[in-house]
Amino acid sequence: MTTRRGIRAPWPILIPALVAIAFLLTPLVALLAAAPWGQLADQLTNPLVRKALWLSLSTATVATLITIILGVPLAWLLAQGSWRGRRVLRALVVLPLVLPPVVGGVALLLAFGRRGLLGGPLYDWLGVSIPFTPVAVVMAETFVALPFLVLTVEGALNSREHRYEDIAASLGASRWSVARRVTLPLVAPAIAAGAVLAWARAIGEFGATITFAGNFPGRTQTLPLAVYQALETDRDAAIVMSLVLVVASLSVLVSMRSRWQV
Amino acid sequence: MPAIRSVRLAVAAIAVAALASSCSSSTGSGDASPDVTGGQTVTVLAASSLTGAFTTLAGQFEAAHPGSSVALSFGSSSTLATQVIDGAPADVLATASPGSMQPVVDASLTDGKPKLLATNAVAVALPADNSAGVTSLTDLANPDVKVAVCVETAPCGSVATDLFASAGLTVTPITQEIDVKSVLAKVITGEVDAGVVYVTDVQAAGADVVSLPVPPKDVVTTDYLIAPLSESAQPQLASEFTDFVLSNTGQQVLADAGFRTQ
Amino acid sequence: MLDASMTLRRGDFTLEVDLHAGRGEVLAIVGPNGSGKTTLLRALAGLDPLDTGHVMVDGKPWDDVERGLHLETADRGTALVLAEPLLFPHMTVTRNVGFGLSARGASKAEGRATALRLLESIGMGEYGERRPATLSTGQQQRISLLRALAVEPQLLLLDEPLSAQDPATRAALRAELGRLLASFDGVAILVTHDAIDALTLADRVMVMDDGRIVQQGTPDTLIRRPESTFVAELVGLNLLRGVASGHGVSVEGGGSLQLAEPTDGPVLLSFPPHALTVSNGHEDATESSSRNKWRATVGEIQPFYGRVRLTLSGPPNVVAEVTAAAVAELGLTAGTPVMVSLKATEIEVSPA
Repeated sequence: MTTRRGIRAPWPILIPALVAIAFLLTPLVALLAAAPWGQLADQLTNPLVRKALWLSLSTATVATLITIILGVPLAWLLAQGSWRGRRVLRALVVLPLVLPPVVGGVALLLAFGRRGLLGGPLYDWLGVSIPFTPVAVVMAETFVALPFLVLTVEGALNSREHRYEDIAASLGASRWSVARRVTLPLVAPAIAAGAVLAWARAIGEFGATITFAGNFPGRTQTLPLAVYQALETDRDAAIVMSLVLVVASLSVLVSMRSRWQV
Repeated sequence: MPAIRSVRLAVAAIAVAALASSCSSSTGSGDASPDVTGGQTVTVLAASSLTGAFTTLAGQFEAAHPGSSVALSFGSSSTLATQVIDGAPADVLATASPGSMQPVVDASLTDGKPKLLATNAVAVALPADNSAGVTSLTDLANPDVKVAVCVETAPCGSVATDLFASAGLTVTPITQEIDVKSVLAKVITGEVDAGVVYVTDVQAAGADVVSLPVPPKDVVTTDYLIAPLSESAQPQLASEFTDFVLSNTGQQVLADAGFRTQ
Repeated sequence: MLDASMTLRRGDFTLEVDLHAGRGEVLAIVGPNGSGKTTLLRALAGLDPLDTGHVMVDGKPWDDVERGLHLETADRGTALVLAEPLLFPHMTVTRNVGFGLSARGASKAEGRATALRLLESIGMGEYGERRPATLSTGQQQRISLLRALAVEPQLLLLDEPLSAQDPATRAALRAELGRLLASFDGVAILVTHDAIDALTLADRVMVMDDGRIVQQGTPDTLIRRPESTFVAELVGLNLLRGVASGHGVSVEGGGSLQLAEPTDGPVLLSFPPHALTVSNGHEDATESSSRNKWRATVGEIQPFYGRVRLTLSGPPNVVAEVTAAAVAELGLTAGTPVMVSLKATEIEVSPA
């Protein structure tokens, strides 16, 4: 018998792990089994589906870019050792994780809606209304995705080797220079990993989107919303769109994984 | 190799267990659904526009049938119908249109033919302050006016489409909500300038909204149907509740809410 | 050039140190773990603030607690070398070496040119485009040294630069460090727990214990006149330079010694005082397993805590450690002729 390097796990670990795999795999298998393969071509060329897919991909990507631009400095601040208020800030960052997405959507409305805290003045003075626009979709997605990036990057910053920075400083590099040339490259893998998580969260966002951005094909109807609506009347379309979402997400996640070790 | 053989065995065992459990009977066994007081519960799924009326009716029914309790679940008619077809444990279904009840009838899940419950007329709700200054139906066609409607596949959505068709207007809504209560909510918070809902919703919202007069020729109505379900675990209670709603007492409650009754 | 006097409190630990060093001097700071050596270095680098005192370099104040002055690390003329090379992993060797120059405003071309020149000078010119991860720890540390020297610091701070190397590389690296320090005209402060580093590389040695300096002086002084068992144990070594050919070494200053393993070229021999046995001069020189026996005269006798250090002039001149009882038995006093023997296996040899 040839020896192969297989997984040698003790039973108490193997059984739950297999149950977990079955639990994760079964819905996916069910989805594939229920797919109307004959109608696939029709459904995929349906403009509604294409619009929803395009909107989902573009908003998720823009939202991810925003989370990087805003999230990395925030993670930096959180990792700066101990300063008063840091705990409060961290709780704030974790909030979107704990908040049910719909509640997040309501909160966004109350903040940026036409009668909202900031949205009200914005509308009254500039005539700018945010809800029901793709901007609102991006905002909803950014709101729920930000914690993923911030916490990932903060973790990396906290566990980084500080002596690189001591050496760089001793050689004459200013704080900004050290951050830019030494620290940031060192945590780049964590930023990428956080971005992938953020993107995945953003593209799957539903509750905050439907509450804050509403539901309109081509403008604010992302794939999850389209699936939800289709479920009521055209189950086949819903399944096809679900598969599209799964395939699109999986291909991005798998392609990133090989480079950034998510 | 022992380890790999064991893995295969474990996967097979789990698969068999999963199949076995899914093959067990999923139909109701006729046992009384337990509730807190030890009495019996009848589960009623109703269109969200019936919220006010059915809540009142449920209370009256419980008072008239001591020991019983009515569990109400409101939502979009099409969603509820889908849930029933998917096997949701329910005893009575009330939809806001014959169209949304039809799939349930086709699936032979109703106990007999559904009966006409009441009729609801379309209404256009405006925020209490009507800051957009909407005065007539034609204003809704103005692209600057934000109009919310239900999704086309919901009864309130098709009612809106019929309304605009009858009035000869091209209205592009800014959002298509899943159910009529969501439309109403957007109007009340002032996020939209107008929302197509039912007369009963306008009545229920009281001072929170203002009703836009609709020309009588354009008034669209929708018929509500009610049916006890054939898979019900409480057939006795289900038909008692249905009869109660259709009785003079029940019909009066509906009329008080703004419905048109026999 | 360096004038520092400071106290620093860190929890229960207090560092209280006075140190001075002149241009081109190599000052070694030796002490056990927790004695405050790294704290001192970090304070000089400006990474940790002082509680009291000052640090002046070349007349310019870097720290002055009374005047509320604290110069940021980046603005000081320092460079840091630690035990791990810590080359920036995402940069090539050349960019690593040139990092300090570009950080201080040099153009890319200047930085590159200087870096290459330095790499060539230690024979690593072809490693310029390599990434640190592809090099051995020894090679990385050599580059780390260049990275520090490239900025021509006024104060070169080395924190146990050889301790992360394996023993085989350590000796060669020590020799190279010695060469680089010889041509360095700033102040070099070398922190180490290994006495050989201190004794071979330094002009002056400071011994630290529990945040304070317990003795300082030239390496020679410390070996011959340790002021405590602590210092004695810490720096308790004999060091002889010589030239080896085969098993024999011709010792600088006279005499010769036999080695366990043959080698050739300039060497550094080290052995602890207790590796020497001293007997009175009457024994037969041929009867013993020790291959190194020579006559010597007792010079100084330094007793403390039950043991005695004898300075013996052969040549070779060594410091031996014997019990007080032995001194009494043998009737040793200044000028007594004795027979010294040293096992060849006790001698540690490193290339000079």
